[in-house]
Amino acid sequence: MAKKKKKSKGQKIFNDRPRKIFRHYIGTSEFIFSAAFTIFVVVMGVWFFAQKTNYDPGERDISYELMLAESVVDNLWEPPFVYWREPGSEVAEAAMGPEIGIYPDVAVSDGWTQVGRLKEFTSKTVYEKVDGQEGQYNSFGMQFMYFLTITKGEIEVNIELYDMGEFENSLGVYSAQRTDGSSVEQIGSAFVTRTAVGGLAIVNQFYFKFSANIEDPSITAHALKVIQAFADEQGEAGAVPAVFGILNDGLGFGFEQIGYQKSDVFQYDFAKEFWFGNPVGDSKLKYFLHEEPGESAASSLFGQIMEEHEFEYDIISQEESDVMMKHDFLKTFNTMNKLGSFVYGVEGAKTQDEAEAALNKLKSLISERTSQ
Amino acid sequence: MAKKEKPIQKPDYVKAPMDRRTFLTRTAAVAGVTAGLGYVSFAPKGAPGSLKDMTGRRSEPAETFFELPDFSVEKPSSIAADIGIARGERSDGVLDFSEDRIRNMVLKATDSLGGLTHYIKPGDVVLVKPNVAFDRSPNLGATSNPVILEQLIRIILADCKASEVRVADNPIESAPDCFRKSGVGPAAGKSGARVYLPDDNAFQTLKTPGAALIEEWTFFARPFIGVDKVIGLSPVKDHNLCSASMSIKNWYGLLGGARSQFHQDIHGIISDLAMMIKPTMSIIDGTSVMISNGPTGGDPSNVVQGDVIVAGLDAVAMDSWVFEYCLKRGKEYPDYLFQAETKTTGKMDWSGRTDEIVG
Amino acid sequence: MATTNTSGEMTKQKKFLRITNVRIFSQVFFFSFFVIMVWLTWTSRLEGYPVSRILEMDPLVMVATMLANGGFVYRYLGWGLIVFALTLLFGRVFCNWICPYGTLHQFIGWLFNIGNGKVRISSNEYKNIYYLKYMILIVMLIMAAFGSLQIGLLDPICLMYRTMATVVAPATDMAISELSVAGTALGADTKVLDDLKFAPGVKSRVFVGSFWIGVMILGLVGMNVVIPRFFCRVLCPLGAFMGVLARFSIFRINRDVHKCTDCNLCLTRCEGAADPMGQVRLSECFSCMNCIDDCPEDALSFTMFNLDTKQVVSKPDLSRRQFVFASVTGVLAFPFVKNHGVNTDDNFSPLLMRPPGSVEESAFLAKCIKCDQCINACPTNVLQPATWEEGGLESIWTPVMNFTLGFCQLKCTLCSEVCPTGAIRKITVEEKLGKGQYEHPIQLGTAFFDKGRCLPHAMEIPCVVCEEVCPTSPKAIQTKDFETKDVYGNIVILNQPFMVPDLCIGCGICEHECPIKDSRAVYVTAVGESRSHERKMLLKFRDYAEG
Repeated sequence: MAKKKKKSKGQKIFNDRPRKIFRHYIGTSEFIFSAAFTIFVVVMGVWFFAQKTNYDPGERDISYELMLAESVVDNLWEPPFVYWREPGSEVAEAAMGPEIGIYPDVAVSDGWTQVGRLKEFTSKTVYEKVDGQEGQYNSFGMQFMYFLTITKGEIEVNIELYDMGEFENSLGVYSAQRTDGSSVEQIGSAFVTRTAVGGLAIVNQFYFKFSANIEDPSITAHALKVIQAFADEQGEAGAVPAVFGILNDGLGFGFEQIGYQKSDVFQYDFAKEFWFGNPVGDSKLKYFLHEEPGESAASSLFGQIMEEHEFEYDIISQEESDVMMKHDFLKTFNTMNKLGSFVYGVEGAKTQDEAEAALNKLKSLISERTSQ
Repeated sequence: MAKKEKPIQKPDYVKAPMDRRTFLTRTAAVAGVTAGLGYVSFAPKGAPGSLKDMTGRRSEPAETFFELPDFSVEKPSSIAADIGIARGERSDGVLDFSEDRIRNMVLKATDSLGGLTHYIKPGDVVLVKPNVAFDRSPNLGATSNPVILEQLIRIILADCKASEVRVADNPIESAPDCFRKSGVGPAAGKSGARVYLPDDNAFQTLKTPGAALIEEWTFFARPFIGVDKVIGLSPVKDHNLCSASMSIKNWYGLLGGARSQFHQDIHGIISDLAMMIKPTMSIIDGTSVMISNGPTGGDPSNVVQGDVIVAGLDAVAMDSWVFEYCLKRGKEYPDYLFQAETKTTGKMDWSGRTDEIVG
Repeated sequence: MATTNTSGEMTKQKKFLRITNVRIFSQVFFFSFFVIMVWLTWTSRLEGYPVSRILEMDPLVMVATMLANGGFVYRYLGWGLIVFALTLLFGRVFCNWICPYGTLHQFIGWLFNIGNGKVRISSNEYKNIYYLKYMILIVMLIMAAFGSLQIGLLDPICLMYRTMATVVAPATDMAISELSVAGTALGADTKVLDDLKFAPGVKSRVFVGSFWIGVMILGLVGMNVVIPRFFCRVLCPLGAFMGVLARFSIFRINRDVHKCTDCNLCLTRCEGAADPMGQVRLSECFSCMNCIDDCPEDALSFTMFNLDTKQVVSKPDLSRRQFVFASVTGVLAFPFVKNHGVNTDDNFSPLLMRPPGSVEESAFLAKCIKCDQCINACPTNVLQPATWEEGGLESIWTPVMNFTLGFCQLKCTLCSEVCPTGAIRKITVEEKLGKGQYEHPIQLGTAFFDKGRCLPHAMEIPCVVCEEVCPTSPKAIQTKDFETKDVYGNIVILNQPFMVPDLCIGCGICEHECPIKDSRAVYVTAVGESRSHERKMLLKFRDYAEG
């Protein structure tokens, strides 16, 4: 054997010894085992790679159907965006009067000045200001609320102005909030109830509420000015619905005598938004009327009401759209009529003649209106 | 005094002196090496072979830059529109998402601009850039719709006879997860496109001359090497910071590095993106519009069903149209559209430049 | 060398298929398999492969976890019975036929051992110090019985896996990255190369503290040039466990005294230092079969027939004194470690955030074998092996989340799929998001704002990346928006973010994206995690549904 060049121990890196097998004997069992084992190991490898699809992909993702089933619209609200106001600049200061938005300028005249900023709230955020009462306002469909604070001397007055969307709604809130028996004045197109700290008022769909820290006649006077100016600015009472006009102007009902029921009229869930007029002196007799968007809608409402009424009323006479009936239990006379897009009638009359007389009055007013 | 002579030690020892040749060569070598190193170290910068680095700057690696060519193609002279809108039919408020319908909508939208075959020539390498920013499922409106992507790729491969289609994006979240769970990865694979994932080594520095914020910025360059045409495919999303994310914002997904800084001037960066890349065409998927909780969405209540697929050559105009009609926000366009109008040739006024096909 | 064909005599085929070659084949197979399993543990590759199987087959993992958890066997841990049975039949075959760590040691030892015959023979003699592994085993099993699972520190499969995941995989990826950059610069398409990475398609991963894991493996593997199979003989608790079981083995190395000439050549390559030349130590023998190859007299065989019971030492060489000392250490170690006080429900690090699906902390510490499979599987690099800071001694190398390096991908549950012992309970995406039958999503912690560092809050600079990337619907970060004029006179719109902790799932993407990179203005801490009653923050979750 050729002698390899001998490296000293420190020079060698790898083990360069060749492997020498000294055994001479290999049993057959060893041979068989080796072969079998090799095959077994290869099979294991194949099994491993065959497991590639052995999982549930649904566990590693979430199905859209489940997302849809659990989907919620969130109730998180965003505080209103606050715009930059440049302080101290000449032009800005001159132009910068009191910022009172929708309120009439007269509110900050005559010694009255604004305190703080005008605040605006929506139906979602109104609780911040009126907390507790917001349910009532929202049930009448409040849309916006404006809040202005003015001061003069030691008096500080808060003016809450609610945009209820429609005249019926502001009327509803107003009626609900004014104390029974308090007087209602009509000043121009506004209806006002005076109080020592200001008062309540409605102008078309707007509802005013004045409150102050002390009682003073100057507050009431100023409040009236504000209300009148606002009513003037709002212009004609175009938002006053025709129905109210009929009861107010036509039949001469005063404000206290007019009622408005927003839902569940006659305790039927399909009957909504009926106006009632109650003549002075007679607590039982009531005129009622309702305007539908169109004739066919009025007809179907008429039909629905009559279907239900048949259970409780004894029908005396029935023409196509005029029915005279008598209540089975209360023995009062009621009518149910339809003319054009109006559904109207009289209820609680003691005699049939009384009912007919009241009805005719109403009918003529309505036919006047429909023919216009 | 007589010096005592020291005895000579080891008298038999004979020394081996260095011979002259070795001495001379060694001295010459040392002198030569010293001179050479000295020259290299001290010669002024301009001299050939000089390695002098007084400021320390010379040892910095030379930056190589990537530049994007202009991918836009002139539209056919017979076409007046810059924006092609395909409106699909809805039943029960739901758009029909069958493959044929979607394919038709894509074809109609692009045909209004002259057809994809005009823009993509046979043998082109096309890059489709979808929005794959999150691992949302497809109908949550946060990512590009995989059905539309698949049909678009099929059209490009079969009708336009492109040689290769690439799909690439650099998502905020984990790229493999986003591609798989949004359906874009499987759709690309099914239709024969190649997906490029943002590995470390896929980024280069991009030069965008004239841009305010990204004159030089890390860019997902690898998919662009050798590309002839680029098409963007983006969804329509509400966005708290920039107000709406449509086709121009889609290119944000190609930026790398510390791109979260750009939120400090979001409108600036988006208008810069309009300068950075001039695509062949942008396609907006208006089929699932995210109107709240954007840009991540996550709940089906954040999405409303839309019914348009819009193809556009002028991204600014297209975004304005989509802002008005898909997000229904009127003409109070986001600031970046105004800035983009000053920085690029796009115009926000889309009137007279649209071509809408229904059904 | 062999020539004739008579039965029993060597032939070329028989020599090729001799037992030691088969053993080498088995070792190579299992080692490659091990590496392939590590490689397959990635979000784009995992599918249904049983990548944890070697860990689940580790009988010490099975037994210790059972001890620490009231005898219950999690999921696939029952596979450990296979190796358990194998050991009872054949002795410590695992050590030299299957164990990848053993393969590694043996390979390094073989490669670098330059001693001549005499040196090698003396290095393979049994040394007293080999009792140490039994003491380590006893300490660890006693601690496990009390409820603190520490076997993962030294269990070879766990150690090997941990090293592969945190040291080898990133190092390999770095090397491949460099090659790929060079290749791309030359104009080549490096897709095939890039797909070979352990973690393709994402930014290169880093693991905090992996340097020490690397030092550990270098040290342990390097010791092979001093004492061959150092770890396996001196430290390995799994080997010790199997050594205890091996005393019952039926098959064993059998020396025919009548043939033996006492030449000691069998010790030349004896892996286990099991004294095949004398009374073979069953508790040490790795069944490597090298001695059979080395005996010129054919005196040794691995068999169950004709056994000479006098030539066997079945019990491990552990004296009673050592046994008692180890037991006392084990009993004391538990309270010492638990009362170290840095990981209790009252005093826990805000950085101790565990992967989604983790059980509460004391149970976690009784289950985690520090194999770091979850860390390997994680697609965003958020999972890191813990250092002292997060959980003290007990939690070294357990997985914790580090939100500056990554974040928890919303619909990913891979860590829970691969955990072999249930420290991270297997969860579905439904459970993670709190849909279907699950009321509330899994929360890893809660995010908080450091308003002094937040750009819109403190510096009049618009930002709000955190709100943009928050993945919940509705978002857990909401903003108050207002317009202002900054100190330079520019009108800016500031969206000032604030937290809604009821909605926060602690995923950490807000922290990850915050541009204040060194100390983030929004950061997630462990309080409020849903896995623990004691570490909760909020009393109730307010309803975010409309109406």
